[in-house]
Amino acid sequence: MDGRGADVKTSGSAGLARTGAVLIWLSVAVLLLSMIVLFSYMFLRTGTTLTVDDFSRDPDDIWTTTIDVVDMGSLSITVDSEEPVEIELTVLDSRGRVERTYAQKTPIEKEILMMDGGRYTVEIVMIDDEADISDLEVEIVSTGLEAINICLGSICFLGMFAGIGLTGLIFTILSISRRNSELRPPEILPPWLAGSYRYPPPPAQYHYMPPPSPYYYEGPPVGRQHTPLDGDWGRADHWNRRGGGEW
Amino acid sequence: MVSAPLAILFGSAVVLLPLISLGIWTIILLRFFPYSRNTFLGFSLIKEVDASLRLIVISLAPVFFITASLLSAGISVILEGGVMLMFIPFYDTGAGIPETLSVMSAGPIEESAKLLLAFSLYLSFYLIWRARKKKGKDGWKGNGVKDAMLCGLFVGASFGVFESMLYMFGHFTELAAKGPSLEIIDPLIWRFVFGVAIHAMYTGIASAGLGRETNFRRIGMTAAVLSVSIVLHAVFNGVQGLVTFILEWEGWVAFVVTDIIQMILMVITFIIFVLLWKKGDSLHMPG
Repeated sequence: MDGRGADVKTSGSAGLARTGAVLIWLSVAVLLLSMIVLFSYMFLRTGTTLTVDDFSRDPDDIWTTTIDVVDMGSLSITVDSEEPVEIELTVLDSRGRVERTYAQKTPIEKEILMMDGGRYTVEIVMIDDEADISDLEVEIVSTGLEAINICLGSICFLGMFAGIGLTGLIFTILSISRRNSELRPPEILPPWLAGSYRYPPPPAQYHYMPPPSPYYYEGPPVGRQHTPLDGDWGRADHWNRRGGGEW
Repeated sequence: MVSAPLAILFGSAVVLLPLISLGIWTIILLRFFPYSRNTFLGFSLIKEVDASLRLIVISLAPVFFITASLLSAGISVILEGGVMLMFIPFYDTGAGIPETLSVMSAGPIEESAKLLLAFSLYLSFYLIWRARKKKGKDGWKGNGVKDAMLCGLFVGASFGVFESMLYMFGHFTELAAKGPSLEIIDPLIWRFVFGVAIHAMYTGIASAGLGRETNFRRIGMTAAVLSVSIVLHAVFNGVQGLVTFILEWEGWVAFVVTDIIQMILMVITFIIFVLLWKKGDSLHMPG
C-alpha cells in the first residue's frame, strides 16, 4: 500500500501484529467452543415429555395433567387422532389462571412460550361425546433451560472471549500505529516515535555484480573516465543508471 | 431427554455446519469469480503487502465478521420483533395473511440492516483501497461495483451464519424431541446448503450500487438493487407463508412445492447477482 514493496522492514509492528492475530483467532476458537458447550447444554436441558397416559380424570370429566416449565421455556402441545375429534384444550399457569385455550378439532399443534416458569396444568375436555381420551395421541413437551445457569455460563465464556479478543485487538491497533511510524521518515515524526523508523534496505542491484560478459558490454558510461575496469562493470553500471533511481 | 454424546453432537453441528457451508461457498466464490480472488489475495497474500499489514488484515477479518453479524442480526431482531408484535393481534383472524406478512417483513428489515453494515464496511475499506486502485499495481485495477458487492457478500454471509445457527438450534431441538421427520430434516438441509449463501447474495446484490462513481448514480442504483433484493427476499419468505398459513398445505406436498419454488427463486437470485457482477466492468470507472 505504501509503494515500497516487501523489502520494507516492519519487524517491530509485525511482532505486535502476530501476537494480535494469535490472540484474536484464539478468542474466536474460545467463542466457537463456548457456543458448542452452550448449545450442547441446552440440548441436555430439553425437558420432560408427557403422553395421554399421564392424564387423569377429575370429577368434572376434565382430563388433566401437570408439567414443569422453567423460566423462558416453551411448551409444545400436539394432539392428534385417526378421526378428527373436537376437544377443548386449556393451559393454566401455576396460579390457576388460563394461559391459553383452544376449542377445535384435532389435529392441534401449539407452541407456547412461557416467560414465567412453574407447574403448568393442561386440561382436555372431550366436546365430542362419542370420543374418548384413549382415541387421542397426545404429546406435551416442555423445552427450556434454566436462565441462571445459562447466564453464568455465558458470562464466563463470553468474558474469556471478550478478554482475549480485546487484548488481541489492542495488540493489532498498536501494530497499526507502530507500522505507520515505521513507514515514515524520522524527520516528520514526533521525537518519541522517530526511533522506531526502519530505513528500507538499498535495492538489490547495488549489491549485485553480474559476471563479465562481452555480449552485454555497452561501453563506458557517459561522463565518466574510462578505465580498463569499466569493461567488467559495464552491465551493472547500465542497470544502475536505468533502474537505480526508482528507490 | 437427550443423551450427553448426542447433545454434544447436536451442539457441534449447530455451530459448525453454518461455518462449513460458509467455507464451501467461499471456495466456490474464489474459484469462479477471479476478481474476488484478486481482492482477497490483495489483502492477505499478495507479495507487495508487508508482513505487518497481512497479519493486521488476518486479525481484523474475524473482528469485522463477528461485529457485522451481531449488529445486523441485532437490528433485524429488534425491528422484526416490533413488526411481529403489531401483527400478533391479527393472527388466526385473517386467513393466514397477517402471518404471511409478518414473515415477509424480514425482507425489507434484514436487507436494510445488512446494507447499512455493508456500506460502513465499504466506506472503511474504500479509503484504504483507493490509493491502491489509482496506482493499479500488478495490473490490478480496482472496481468499485465489485468491491461493494464483496463487502455485501461479507456482511450477508456473517448474518447468514448467525441466523443459520439460531434456526439450526431450533431444528435440532425438534429433532431431539420428536425424532427425524421430513418437517425437520428438509429445513435443516436447506439451512446447511443455502442459509449462508442466499443471505450473502441478497446483500451482494443490494450493495452493488454503493460502488458507483457519483453520488447521484450511487443513490439511484442502490435504491434500485435494494428494491430487487428486498422483493426477492420477501417473496422467498412469502412462499413459506403462502403454503403454510394461507393454503394450509401439509406433509411432503407442501415441502416439495416450497422447495421447488424457492429453488427457482434461488437460481433467479444467482443470475441477478452474476449479471450485476459482470455488469460491474462497464458500470464503474476506476479512480
